Parts: sequence; structure tokens; C-alpha cells
Amino acid sequence: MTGFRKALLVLVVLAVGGALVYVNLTFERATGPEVEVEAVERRSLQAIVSASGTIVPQLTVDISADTMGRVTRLAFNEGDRVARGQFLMEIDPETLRSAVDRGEASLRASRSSQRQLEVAIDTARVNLQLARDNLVRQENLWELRLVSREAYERALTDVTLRETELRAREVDVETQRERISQEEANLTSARYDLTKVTITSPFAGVVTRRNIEEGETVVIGTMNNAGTVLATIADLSVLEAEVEVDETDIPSVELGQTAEVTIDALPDQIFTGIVTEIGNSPIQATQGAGTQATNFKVVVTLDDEIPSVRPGFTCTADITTAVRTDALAIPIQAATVREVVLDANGEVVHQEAAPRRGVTPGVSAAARVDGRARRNDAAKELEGVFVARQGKAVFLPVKTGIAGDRYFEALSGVTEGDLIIVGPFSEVRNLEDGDEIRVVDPDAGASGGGGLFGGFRRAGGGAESR
Amino acid sequence: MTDTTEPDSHGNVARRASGRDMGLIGRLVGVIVAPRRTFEVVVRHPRWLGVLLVVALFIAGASSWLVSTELGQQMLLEQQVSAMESFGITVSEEMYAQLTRRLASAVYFTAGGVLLSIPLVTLVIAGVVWTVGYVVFGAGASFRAMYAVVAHAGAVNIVQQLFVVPLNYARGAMGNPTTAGAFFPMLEEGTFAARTLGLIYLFVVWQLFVLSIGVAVLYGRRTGPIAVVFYLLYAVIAVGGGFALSRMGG
Repeated sequence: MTGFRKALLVLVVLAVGGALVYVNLTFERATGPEVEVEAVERRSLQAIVSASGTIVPQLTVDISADTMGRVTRLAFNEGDRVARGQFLMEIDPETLRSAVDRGEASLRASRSSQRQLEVAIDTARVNLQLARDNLVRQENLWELRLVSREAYERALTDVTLRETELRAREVDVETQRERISQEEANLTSARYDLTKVTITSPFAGVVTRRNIEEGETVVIGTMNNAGTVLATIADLSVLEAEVEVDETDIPSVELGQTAEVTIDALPDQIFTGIVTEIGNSPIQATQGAGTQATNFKVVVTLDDEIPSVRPGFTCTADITTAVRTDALAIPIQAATVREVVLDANGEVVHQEAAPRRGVTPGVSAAARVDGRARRNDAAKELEGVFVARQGKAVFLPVKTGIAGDRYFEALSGVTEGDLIIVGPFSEVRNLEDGDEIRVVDPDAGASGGGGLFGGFRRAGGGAESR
Repeated sequence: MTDTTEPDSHGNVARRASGRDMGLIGRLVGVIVAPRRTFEVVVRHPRWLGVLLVVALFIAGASSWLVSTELGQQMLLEQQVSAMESFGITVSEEMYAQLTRRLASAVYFTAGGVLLSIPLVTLVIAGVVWTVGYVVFGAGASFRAMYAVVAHAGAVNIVQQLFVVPLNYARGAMGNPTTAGAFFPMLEEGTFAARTLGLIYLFVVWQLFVLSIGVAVLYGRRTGPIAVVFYLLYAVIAVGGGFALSRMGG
């Protein structure tokens, strides 16, 4: 090998070595996870409290029997629309009708007796008058001593006797009059009982349930034994959604708030209504694994009739508890909690990720786990978001307001246009303040270029690329 | 010492005897600066123990020194985490803690691994090349001579360590900075091209060239065809490995 070739070889080796050193120390490969960002924008937000429950009519009546007996006539079927006062069924009336007849006969007999007693009074009055006339005569004769004292006293006693007899007859008439009143009351009661065998609809509605067949015997309820519920009639012109709201949401629910109700059986339809009732008594519901959830009943009265609805349909009510227009909105999935260090003014002291070059005094390899520096005692957990700035994730504490479907209202902490890191969730969960990131352009696809040789990485890759 | 080989009428390279021997240091330096002349000496006097010990001890010392430093441990931890995550493994806090605990013993594992693997790898390479040479060129070389040639080719690894360890320390990363991929930082990580270029180590290219010279000297053949075969095999391995890694690692 000639000296020239040797020198050339040495030069080539040095050049390659120098180039290696240069590229390794100059072109540092961008590191950090790929993240997706979304700019902070002003949006209209609605705070929604969702709860599930069932559709119920506002007015529902269970028709029960007031008298026992066999059903002899039945004039309705389940699902029938019935008018107010419309005949529904009849329970065997014979016994009660006999009772009415018996009462009427008894009343007539009592009135006849009363008339007899009134005649007896007249007789007693005549007898009394005769006795008094006789007493006058006996007094005159006694003054002339023409009759014995015995005759005179007998005439006197006879008057007293007749007076007593008259009072007795008068009492008899009064007693009979009371007896007639009693008979009349009994007859009225019997007639009323007779009306009970005929059952009519108490209001216009729909028969939502029929539990009886013609020929069956119904029983009336007692204190410990429920009677037969013959049918259920519901007024479907006013419907309600009875939902159970979690105790944490119930303070924000108020009467008059609007709600959108979706019914599972009627997909793709949304019904509107307003909150008309908020329960004060908790409902203990058992969830999975035996955990107890405390809910409260909230009633949403629907604005419109729903022809095809059935009581008991399951539904979900989205109650709008607050509305914000033109609010700074941050995506819900971007919100996270981190331990941050605050300075004397309450501002966040941003932690620089441990540098990739050189020894960092005080940051040992053991303390640095995936770029996470150990926090000191002044650290405080705050809710916030990560924003992408110059290829790094910067944690900003955020004070949130209402929560919409996909966005939180940001009361402070971010400004319009900030690029919020929204995903992937696994990366947002693991990010730390100051971590290096690579922003993915969602329009470019997830792979960053396909084919066997892949694509070229975008320069920079930070927030400025958007 | 002058070049003592020349091709005959069949293209083979005949060896001419040379009376001078070389010491251990001389052979280590000679493999770098004058490989053909050095391998002629090695083939005549096939000694391997000394050079193998020096190469293994030097590499073990350099590697374990880097790992023993605070930065080296930090780099090693990041490399392990990065490797696991590149294969889709989510490293939990417990796994981090476990990896961190193992850092204390990383020095011994690194040194032990190097001291154990270098003789074994040398043995495997020597065995494969000697077997292929036996089939292709005939029984013209002893296995001892082949083992000595492969062991001496390992001297390139000393130069590699001298270059890589300071560079790694300076840039704060544990990966090999001497791959062809280093010249293409614009390539997306994990792609086939990046993976393939990342498997082409420039010092291995040099080592294969040196080994080609040694094998040529051993069998009295021309260096060029042997080097081409080595490079083709290496290219196939790099392309296959790059394809597999790009598919597996994502």
C-alpha cells in the first residue's frame, strides 16, 4: 500500500469517525411519546345530569272491588281506551239487590206502624178529654157533697192515668219515627252497596292492565290481605319520566330545568320535558359487588303525548342543569391531576425533565423513573391539563366550571388557542411536566407514512407544527 | 516487513515464510494498521489466548465502567425501558422499581456477560467460518489457526470501545452510536429503513473486512470474494432483522 493510499485511508477513517461524532451529538433523535393535541376554543357548553328510570303516566289508578262476588259482566279489554264513567264490569248484584228490597219492605212496615201509633195517640187524647170532663163533674158534685170522696179521687186519678197514656203513645210515635229513619238509612246503604257492583272508569284513559275474567270471584281487601286489583287505568295524556339521580348530582337539579328524554324502546327519538318533582327521600340501590348507591327520585314531565309509549318503558333523562355560551372549553379526556410545586405567589414551578446529557447533581438514576423527578415536600396535587409547547408537555393547573358532554368549562389556567394534549389516554396518564413529546397530526394518519421503508419524521414535531 | 503474498496462476495467494514473530501488543496494533502482515504472523504462529483475554477484559472494563457511573445507570435504565416499550410492554411502577433495584448489580452482570460471551461468540464464528472454509477450500487450515484469526479480528472491538464509550457518555445515551442509521436522523423510528440501518454497525463492517483478510491469508485466497460473501451475509441479516423488528416493535 502506497503512502498516498494509506494517508487517504486514514483520512476516510477520520472523516467517518468525525461524522459519527457530529451526527450523534448534533442530530438528537426526537424522543418522547406521540400525542394528539386540540386547540382551546370557545364553545357553548351545557352541564348535563343523566339518569335512567321508567316512563309512568302522571295519573294511574288501580281499580279494586268494594264488594265481594262473582263477576257477571265484563265490558273491557287491556289496552282499551275508556271514557270517564264508562261501564267496565258488574259483580253479581242479587244479594245486594235483595238487601235493598228487604230494606224497602221494612221501611214500609215501619211507616205503617207509625200510622197505627198516631191513631193510638188520638185515642189517648180522646180518653184524656173524657177523663178531664168527668173530673170537672166530680169536683162540682164533691163540693155539694153529692158524691163520695172516693168517686172524686178516682176521677182525678183517671185524668192522670190518661195523660200518662197519651205521653206513652207520643213516645211510641217518636220511637217509630226514629226507627223509620234507621230503616231509611239502611235502605240508602243497601242501595249504595248495590251501586258498588257496577264498576265504571273514574277518568278517561287507557286500560293498562286487566287482571280479571268474567266468572271469577273478587274479594275485597282487608288490613293484612290486599284485595283483588281488577284493572289499572292510566291517563296517558300526561307522561312522566321517573328517574333516579345520583346523590352527587342532585344538588344541581332544580325544578323547572329542561330535560331531554330518550326511551330505549323508541330509538332515534328525543322527547322534551321539565323537572317537576325532586325527591327528598333517598333511594338505596344496590350496585355491583354489593355496593350501595344513594339516589333520589326526580320526575320529568314530558311536554308532548307519545302515542306508542307504554308505562314502564325504560328511559334516560338528560337534565340540563347549567348552560354557558362562549366559554373556554377543554376536552374532558385531557383533564388530569398532577403533583406540582407552587412558589410563594402560588404559581407553578415547572419541573424540567432530567436532561439527557451529562450528570445531573441531585438527580440519581434511581430517583429518575422514566424522566420523572422526585417531588419535594412542597408539592400539591392540582387538576389541570398538559399543553404542547416547543416539543414539551407543560402542565397548567386549570380551574374548571361546568362539565359538558365532551368539554369542561375552563375558568382559568388556559387561554384560547393553547394546544391541549388530549391523547392517547395512556400517554396523558403518564405524562409529567417538561416531558418531551411528539405531536401527531391527526390528518396525516397514525402511522406517519406507510410502505416498507416508512416515512420521514417531521422536523421539530412540537406545538409549532400546527 | 513487506507484503509477503502474491497470487499464483490460479488466483490463489501463496504464503511466503517470514522469520519474524510479533508480540501481543504488536499483533493487536497490527490488526488495526497492517492486518494482512499481522495475520500472516498469526497464521504461522496461531496464538489466541492472550489476545482474547485482552479484548474481553478491555471491553468488559469499558462497558462496566460506563454502567458504574451515575449517568451510565440512568442511561441503562432508559434503554431498558425504551426497549420494553418499543415491544409494546407497558412498564408499570413496580417494574420500574425492579429495574432500578437491579442497577446496582448491572456492573457485575455487564462485565460477566462480556467475559463469558466474547470467547463463546468467537468460538461460534470460528466454527462456522472454519466449517464453510473446510467445505469450500478444503482442509488447508487448522481450527486453532481459524480461532486465532477470529480472536485477533476482535481487536477492532477495542477501537470501537475507545470510540463509543466516550461518545455515549457525552451524548447521554446507551445505544450504539456507530450504526449507519446515525447518518439518517430524519428517518422515523421503528420503520423498516431505520431498523435495518440501525443494525449495520460500522465497526462490524470494519471487523468483517479484517476477518476477510485473515481468512484469505489462512486459506491463501484473495480477500475480495471472501469479503463480498461476508458483507452479503451481513446485509441479509440486517435486512431480515430490520424487517422483523419493524414488524414486532411497531
